[in-house]
Amino acid sequence: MRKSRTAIITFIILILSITVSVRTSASAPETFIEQAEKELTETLRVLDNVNWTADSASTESITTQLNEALRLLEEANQYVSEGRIAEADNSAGKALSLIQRAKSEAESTLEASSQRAFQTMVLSWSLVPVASFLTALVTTRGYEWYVKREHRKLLNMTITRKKKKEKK
Amino acid sequence: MLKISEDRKRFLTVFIVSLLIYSTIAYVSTTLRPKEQFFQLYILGETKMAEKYYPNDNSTVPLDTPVKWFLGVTNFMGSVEYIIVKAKLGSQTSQPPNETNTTPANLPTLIEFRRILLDNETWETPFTWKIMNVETKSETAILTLNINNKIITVQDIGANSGDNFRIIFELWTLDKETKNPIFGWKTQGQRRAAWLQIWFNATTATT
Repeated sequence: MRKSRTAIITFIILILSITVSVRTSASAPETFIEQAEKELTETLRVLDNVNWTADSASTESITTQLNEALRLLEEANQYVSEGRIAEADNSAGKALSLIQRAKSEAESTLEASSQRAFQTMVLSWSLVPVASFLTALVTTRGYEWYVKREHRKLLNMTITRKKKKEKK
Repeated sequence: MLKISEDRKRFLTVFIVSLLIYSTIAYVSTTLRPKEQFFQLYILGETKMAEKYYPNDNSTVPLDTPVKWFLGVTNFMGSVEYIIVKAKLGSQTSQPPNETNTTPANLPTLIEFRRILLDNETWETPFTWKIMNVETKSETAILTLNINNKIITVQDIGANSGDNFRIIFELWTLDKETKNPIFGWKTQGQRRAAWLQIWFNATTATT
């Protein structure tokens, strides 16, 4: 009697644990997909702030990874609709890790591009007074040299005229 | 009063003028000029040109005859964009998308394509479809389509005698503020939309 009761309890516990594990594994791909989609929009937000100084090769590599992740997510959704939970889990997991990698790349690209943009701005604005000073210096010196040359020409002309008169 | 020599005056004038010119150059080179932001959505025939949209150039598509189109989108938004192209099936009486108030067509989506596009990038994908079955219910044809090897039966849309079906392509983007997909896109506080459609007739076999 006692043995059969223990057996029934064990059986119930076993059934319950199977149900729980099936439910957990069934909800896993959806959780992965949801998390991946959230991460994807977050990555896009980071990419949106990347400015024109960003390295085009790295932006290209990030979008390639994101497109591959989109393909995997579509595959995962397809598997979910077909009830192939293990495959869906696998595809969604791969998509999530790809997106996370792309996100960290996007963050470093954003940092590098912001730094480069700042350096470019500082360099171009600091060059403004230097270039203006050099232009002013070269222009005024050039003008002085031109005026002196014209004066010398006039003087030479006068001297030549005087010499001609003296000869006559 | 402070007396400045002619040479110094000349130097100062040139310096100030140069300062103005170089500042303008620095500002222009470090600031992004606003440009028109838009997407280009297109569909091409089997020759990848705006022709031969139907087999034998006949808009009545027979059963099991593959129709090959090329669907393309170009991003001119100046940034990386997440786009969704939705293909929908409509009939003559269906309400098409509205560009003025940017409302999509209230029709079932046959298939959708999701893609992340770089600025100035063009994405093109084949769109191959065929009519697998035409079910006629009191002269209204209901289609079963095979689109890119995906079989879809559209129950809600039927056309009288199989005439004037249309495939509508809508361009959706991810709204950067709400993070939700929207029909069309936002540019300088305004909503814009792009969509296109191709009409066809289905050969019906009365059952």
